[in-house]
Amino acid sequence: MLNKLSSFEKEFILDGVQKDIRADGRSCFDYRHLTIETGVLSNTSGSSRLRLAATDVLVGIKVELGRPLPGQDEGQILFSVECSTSASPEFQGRGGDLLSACLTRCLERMIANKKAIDMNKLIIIPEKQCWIIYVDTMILVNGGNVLDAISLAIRAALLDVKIPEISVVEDGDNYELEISDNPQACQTLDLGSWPVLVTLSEIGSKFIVDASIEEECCTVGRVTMEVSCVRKRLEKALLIRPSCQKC
Amino acid sequence: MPQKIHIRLAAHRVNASVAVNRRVPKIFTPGQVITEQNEFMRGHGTYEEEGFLKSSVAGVKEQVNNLISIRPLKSRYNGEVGDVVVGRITEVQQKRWKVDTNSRLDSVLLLSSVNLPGGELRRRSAEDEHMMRQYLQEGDLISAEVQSVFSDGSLSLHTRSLKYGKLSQGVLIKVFPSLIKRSKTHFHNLYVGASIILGNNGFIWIYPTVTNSEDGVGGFVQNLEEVVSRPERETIARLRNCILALTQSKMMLFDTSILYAFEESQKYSVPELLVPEAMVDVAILTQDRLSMAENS
Repeated sequence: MLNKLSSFEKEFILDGVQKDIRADGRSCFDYRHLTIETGVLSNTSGSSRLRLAATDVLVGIKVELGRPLPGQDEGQILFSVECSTSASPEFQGRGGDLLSACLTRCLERMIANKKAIDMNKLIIIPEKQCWIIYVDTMILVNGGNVLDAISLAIRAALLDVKIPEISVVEDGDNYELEISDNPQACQTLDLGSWPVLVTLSEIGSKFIVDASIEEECCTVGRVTMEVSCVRKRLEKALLIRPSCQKC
Repeated sequence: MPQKIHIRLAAHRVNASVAVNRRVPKIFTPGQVITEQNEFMRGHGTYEEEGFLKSSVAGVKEQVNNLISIRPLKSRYNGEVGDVVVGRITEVQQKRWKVDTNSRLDSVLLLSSVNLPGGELRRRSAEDEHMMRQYLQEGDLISAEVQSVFSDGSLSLHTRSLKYGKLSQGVLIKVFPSLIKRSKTHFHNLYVGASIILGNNGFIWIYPTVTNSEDGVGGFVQNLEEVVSRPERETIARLRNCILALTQSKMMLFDTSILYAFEESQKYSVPELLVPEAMVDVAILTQDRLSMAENS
């Protein structure tokens, strides 16, 4: 991290977390203020922008037709994360590539959770045509806790996605897809219950939620939990899958 | 233990501008026409196009007789001799340190401009050069004064006084340099139980008040073991949130405005001050008290 802190500042933050009072007065499990808006990018199927105090992320989603992967009968979701070069001095040139790759990998692991996300709903014609969703994220300002902000913004953008209605016309072995021309005739994406990521950062012997960028410099390790809400016969169950990272 | 998480739509965000004497200060944006007359002289931040005088930066208008200039809201710090700055060491070079002070170029702190243990007039030997990293490392925070300005605009700092030197435990806040009011002293020991250094470069340092002062050492040897108690931490956190509230409403920062904001913020708990409504409320109340103090 280019944002270096002096040993005294780190000591102050460490001691504060042990006493459950952080630099801005929050307790260990308080989030900062969140602001969200959807529908910000007109040339996408769905978009959102989320501000978590200083952190600013922008998500754009494009939905296209394509072939499913051989042997699989489900749609695809492809993630890409980009760090804007003005987000932080360390993102100049290729500096942001490491963080981008790390975040993209985290998001790809997230959709491996079959119980929460139902990719079979993206199939139009089995083994021939499916929806491919491209989720592109851009980090505009890095103010700490980017992964949580990205997961919240992606969930908001997916709920904003509008895909046109498609009807399949069978003609023997040939299929024809008719896409409705009416801009009002569209449906929202139904993927099951999209999860949200919560990152817990370890400072000293305690864990905190929503670390600011100074607190991230003092973290020893991080645990990211994927939390989703699954409804099964009117019962709500929380599924949590942890993934650990040692910094 | 359910925690409250504040989420809101961007469309419902709070307007942070605070009225001064019932007038909201007008902010000019780049390209905006200031005036149409030709008898005004162009100052900094303006340019002329098609007979109109237009602004080239985002800021407030300053007019002295017939000279119009625009003072930018957010800019890099332009140093002047005698300013007190708070900076972070970025490099240790042969006989000097490079300090980041939020200006266009890193400032320079020469080895000959610091107080070394052993007295004022000690000659700097070759050993001192090797021991430089033991005095100040990369990442350390210092308070210093601007000694001179080089021709390329970078600053030369010095810490030749006992009140300057390495900073120990505390919290650093970065604000726009234009919001710091110039005053006689930038070191304040507030009665509320914390001390504050208002650097002209926009870096503000809040730290617990030190009761005992070690003399002769020049501020370079500090105790990493000192513990900051919980009430002191709450005071420091409250001061930090008050300063951020004043910054969001673009109000000038000086010891009186910060103290008024601190007093007006007592009705909120410290984490509640991070909510935008509370920040605007504190800023408006502070502005009211400042106007009352001015008028009386």
